[in-house]
Amino acid sequence: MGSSSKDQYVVEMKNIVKKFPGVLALDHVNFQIRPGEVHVLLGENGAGKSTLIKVLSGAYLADEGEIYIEGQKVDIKSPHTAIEQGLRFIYQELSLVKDLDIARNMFLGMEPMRSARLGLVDWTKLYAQAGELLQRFHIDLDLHKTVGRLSVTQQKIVEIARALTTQAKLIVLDEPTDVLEDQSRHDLFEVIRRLKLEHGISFVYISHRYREVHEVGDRVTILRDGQNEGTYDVKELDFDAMIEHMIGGQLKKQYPDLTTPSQDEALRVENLSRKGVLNGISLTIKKGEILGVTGLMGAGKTELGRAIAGADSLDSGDIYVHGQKVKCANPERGIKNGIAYLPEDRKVLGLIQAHSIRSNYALPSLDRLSVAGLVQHHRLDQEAQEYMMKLSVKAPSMNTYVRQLSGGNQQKVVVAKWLGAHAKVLIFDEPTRGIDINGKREIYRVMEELLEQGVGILMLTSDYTEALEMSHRIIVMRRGSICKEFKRGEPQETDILREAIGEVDGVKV
Amino acid sequence: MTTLATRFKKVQLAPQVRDILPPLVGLVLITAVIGILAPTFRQWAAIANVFENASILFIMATGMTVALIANCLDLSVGSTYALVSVVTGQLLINQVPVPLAVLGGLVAGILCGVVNGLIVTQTGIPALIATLGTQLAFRGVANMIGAAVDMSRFPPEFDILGSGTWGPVINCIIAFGVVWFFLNKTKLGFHAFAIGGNEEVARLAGIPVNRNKIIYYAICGLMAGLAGIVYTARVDMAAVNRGQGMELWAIAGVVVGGTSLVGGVGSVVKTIIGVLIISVLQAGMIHLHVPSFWQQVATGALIIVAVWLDFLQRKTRA
Repeated sequence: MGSSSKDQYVVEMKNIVKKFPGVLALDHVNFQIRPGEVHVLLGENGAGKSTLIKVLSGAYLADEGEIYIEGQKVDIKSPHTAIEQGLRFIYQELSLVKDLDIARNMFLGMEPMRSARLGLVDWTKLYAQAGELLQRFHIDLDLHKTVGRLSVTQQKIVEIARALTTQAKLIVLDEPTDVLEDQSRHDLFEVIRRLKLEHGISFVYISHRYREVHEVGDRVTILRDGQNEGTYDVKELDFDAMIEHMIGGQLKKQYPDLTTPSQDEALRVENLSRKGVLNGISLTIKKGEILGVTGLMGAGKTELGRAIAGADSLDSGDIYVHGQKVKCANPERGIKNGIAYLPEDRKVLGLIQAHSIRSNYALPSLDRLSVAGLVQHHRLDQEAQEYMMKLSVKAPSMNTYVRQLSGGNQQKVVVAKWLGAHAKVLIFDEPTRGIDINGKREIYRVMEELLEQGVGILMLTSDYTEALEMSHRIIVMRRGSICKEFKRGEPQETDILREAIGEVDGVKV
Repeated sequence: MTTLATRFKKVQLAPQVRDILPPLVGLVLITAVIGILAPTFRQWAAIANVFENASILFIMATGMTVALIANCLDLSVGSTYALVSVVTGQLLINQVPVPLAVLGGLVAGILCGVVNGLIVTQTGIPALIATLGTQLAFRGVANMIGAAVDMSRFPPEFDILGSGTWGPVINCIIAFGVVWFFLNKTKLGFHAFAIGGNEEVARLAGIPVNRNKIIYYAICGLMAGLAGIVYTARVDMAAVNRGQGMELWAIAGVVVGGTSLVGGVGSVVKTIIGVLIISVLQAGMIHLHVPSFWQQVATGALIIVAVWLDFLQRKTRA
């Protein structure tokens, strides 16, 4: 039965089974990639996308199943075999050496040698080959430029170029655009399209962004609970159908209706400035209101959040919480004043991954939960339990390590942590980046609940749809200043984009 | 043998037990092997000797446990040990009452820790370098106070702190109790884990990271000082050249027990086991007549293996 495939496919994965203790991660999955196609792999977190890719890359060994490359059965035992077979993998986190230039990054570990015995690299040859390669694939980048000075999109393209140094047949891109701004994604898509059409290279493209499926994909395979839900031509499948296959039920409404905020003010910020980063920012948030702040990367959203919370210092400006003037010289003061900052990088900045839910919950609340410097463990247990229930955190117990939780559940633990600290203002920095659709919905539900309790929310987001749907008012930032404020329902996505880019470099879209 | 695997899985050990199991098994194995190979090791005197030797190192290691959990490396404890020894010695030969002399010594230890903490938190110099510097500096101060002074023949009320098997062991129990209580019951102890686990998360959670680090260094200095006092009492003599390289032994004891060298994970119970492993190994090698140079090599290798294991464990966790 193996002969049916022939070389119709670059890669064919047959009946792949992968078990982890207690979980059937892949349940007889079939996955075929044609030459010269962009094949989108869709699925929620935990659907098995990354497991499938890790089996292909040799990072995991499958328990059952076969892999054929151009009709030949191949045993992929290690990442090295995969590379030999012309499979290249580009992961979400950039894996380039920032201090080296483009050419040296491209040939890292495979430098052409002048003398292999003496270990002398043939630099002339390296630059010549790199230049030739970029030219052949029409990639317009300066070989000598240091990678650290490139934009994130350009760095992704360099990673693709690196894959091309080894006769790649298939390049797997794991959520490449999650870190990219809207208009620069198109540069990446353009490179992909050209490689596909002119050089017959196949791509597997893993993404959370459903709209991209149509922009870049030819076919799409949808995974759900470790099973292949089906492979479709992208044209056959509209947005709703796609979501339906993915979550296996009818599409529930993604965004909740927002309640009307109260008239009382939760936070007022006047003339906040930080040299070179923030210029005279003023804003107010009512109790029970979400103020969305959006803009391009580098517009100063994160910096604004950190400054209000006291994580970064200020040059000037006043902050009022519930009408009282406060000074937030450091996060400790910020929290005492009721302002909590939920950083974008939950993995690194929001939670201690190696600690339990309970320990993470306790972090900002220990002052409250201690008597004479001694932790009241029973009270802590009780509260942690209570908040886990309230926010329906899915975990075996409060002693479960945070690293074992899904993105959505981790975010809930972050929220629980700050609710426990009795925050009056929560600053969410990219609350749903990298979180699947169900997780997003849960986070929005949590936000709603926060609003009901009279919390004011400052939501910093580069997802314009999210800004549009989840804010009472929207502020657009550009180069550290507020350039426009919209009311809910007033702007379209394009209006926001136009404001965010400004007149100067708006042509690239 | 899936049945065996499932059956094993069903035995749900409490996490506290599961955590200390690997070093505990290691300790039992090492003890058994040495016990079999060296008949002299099987006598009570030999075992008591292990405990006596282990106890002073253990007292120092309890403080090091706190510091390492908070990711505050301290290489100066060997010098603090000597410095406290001569401070206490000076006070005693100047007829200061024993309790006050002991207190003075302990305060000196705390001060050493505070100095470390201040340098690390205020300058941002890596702890490794900063405490390597103070290691030399504290030794210098110890020399100023105690070089060329005969400090011995202390009052018996003082010597009792380190005499026999029980003197050191009781001090050990005190040190263990204090540190266990600190790590498990107090807010500051809880924060140590958070700071070692992820300093930025801790900072954003409003924990005064710098102030706390100074406290952890102070505790480390305090316990190094207590170890110095117990030793001084035991040999009835204060001398400036004590404790050289002892910081490595202390760190080894902590890390071999399973406390992470880069913070966030650990316990003082593990340190008991770690210090015992090292002491049994040291004593065992003497009983087996291993040349002393090889003893050093073996201990060095043990430290590297322990750190490597910690490193591997971190990798699988990530």
